[in-house]
Amino acid sequence: MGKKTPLFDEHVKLKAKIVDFAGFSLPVLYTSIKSEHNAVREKAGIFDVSHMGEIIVEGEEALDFLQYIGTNDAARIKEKQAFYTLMCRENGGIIDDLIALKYNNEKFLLVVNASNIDKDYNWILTHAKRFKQLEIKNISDETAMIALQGPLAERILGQAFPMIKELPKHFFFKEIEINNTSIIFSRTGYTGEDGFELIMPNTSVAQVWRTLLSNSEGKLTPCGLGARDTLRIEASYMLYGNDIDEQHTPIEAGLHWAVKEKGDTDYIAKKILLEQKEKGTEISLIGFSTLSSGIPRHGDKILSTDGNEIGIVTSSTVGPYLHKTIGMGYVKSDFTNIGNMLYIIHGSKKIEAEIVKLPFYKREG
Amino acid sequence: MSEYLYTKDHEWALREGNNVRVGISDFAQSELGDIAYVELPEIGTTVTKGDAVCSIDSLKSSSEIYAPVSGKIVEVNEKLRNEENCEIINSDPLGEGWIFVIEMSNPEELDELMSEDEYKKMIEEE
Repeated sequence: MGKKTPLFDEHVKLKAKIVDFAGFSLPVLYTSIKSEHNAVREKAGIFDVSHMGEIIVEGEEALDFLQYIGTNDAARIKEKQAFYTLMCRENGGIIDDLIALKYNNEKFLLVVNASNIDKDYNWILTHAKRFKQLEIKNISDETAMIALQGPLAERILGQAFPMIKELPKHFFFKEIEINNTSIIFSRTGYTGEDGFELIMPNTSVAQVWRTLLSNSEGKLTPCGLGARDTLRIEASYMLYGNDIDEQHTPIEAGLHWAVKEKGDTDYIAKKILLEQKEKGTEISLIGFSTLSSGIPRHGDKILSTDGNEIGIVTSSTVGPYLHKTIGMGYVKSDFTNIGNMLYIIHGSKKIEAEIVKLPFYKREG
Repeated sequence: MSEYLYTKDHEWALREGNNVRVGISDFAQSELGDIAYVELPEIGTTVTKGDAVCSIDSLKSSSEIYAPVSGKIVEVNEKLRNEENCEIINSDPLGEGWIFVIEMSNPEELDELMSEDEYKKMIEEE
């Protein structure tokens, strides 16, 4: 039995199917992955994401530190804005991908993957020593998080919390005091839909969960990890451990947009990453859509039409909204043109696929 | 009294004369979740009791379906070739969600299967 989040009893009440994930006991589904997935695309879904980690970086040199430790340009980010960034080792291998919330140049909240909390915290502590008086706090154990995602998310949030005068815009956040608790409302998410991630102390999350559900006019569906995965694959978001890891760089993963020059500012892996940006890489992450039957899985080999091994599948699923079998994988850079045909070896089966543009799904408007 | 017999791998077997119709149990479909794809066996294939006959993919995982008895595959549920129809295994696992039919070579093997009551007991204890 993994660690329970503060919402565990709510999941039991809703008769969720609980599984172990990154050391936590979490719902994989409540009813079915397909119905939960489509509820998010068509109405709204609510997810317990309390397993994620939260690390505060505070101090005079917080901005300089973020510039050093992450690949994206934190200086260009506004106050109360959120941004996606990656922490890499000196050789460019990805330590983690994360969302950083910038309060101001002196305070950042980093939201990191559950499977990497300790690794990230230690990495940050080690490198923080180079900077003056930085306060680093790992508040993961006391902090809970709910994701509210879908076209009706804004309306439901407004109904549940009518005291909030104005909700933050896309990729911005607000910290609001509600019933003596500080709750961060961040307009971010992992589904490809509009939505919010609500970050708060453990003691408040059950009440917030219930408040959202009871103010949703029946249009809010509890969703588990299964739907979280199918949603993020359709949106072609990375899953650490599947699509990105320490054996791959952000440039190989197609995340060059999150790797910035930042003028003369040096940062960990800057040289190798900018070199890769300029010269290219031997392998690149691509998206594919299958043309014959079968569902590829992480680790399946990818062959060219000549039968040569050219890559490996990192994630794949039948997209419940797109009704297509899709996936991502690393392929030798010579073979990455859109429309190229591939073979994917799944057990004894050879699945035909073609390379398609990413993202597979993008919401309208 | 139910005619359905069960294996420990959660397949059901329904005798039809010298044939046996096979599918997965309600418990199995619930464990697997949304069925997305079934790799149907070829008609005419000879199978031995316990052989993996075909695979079944859900959004969460893949699973093998084993032959409850030995014989020859004489019929498959053609509906399942269309991936959109695979959800019938979730909605009607003991009826329209049947997967294949075996012409038995060794009908005594049916005696080795569990009755519905024995199967229910087994899954309660799991």
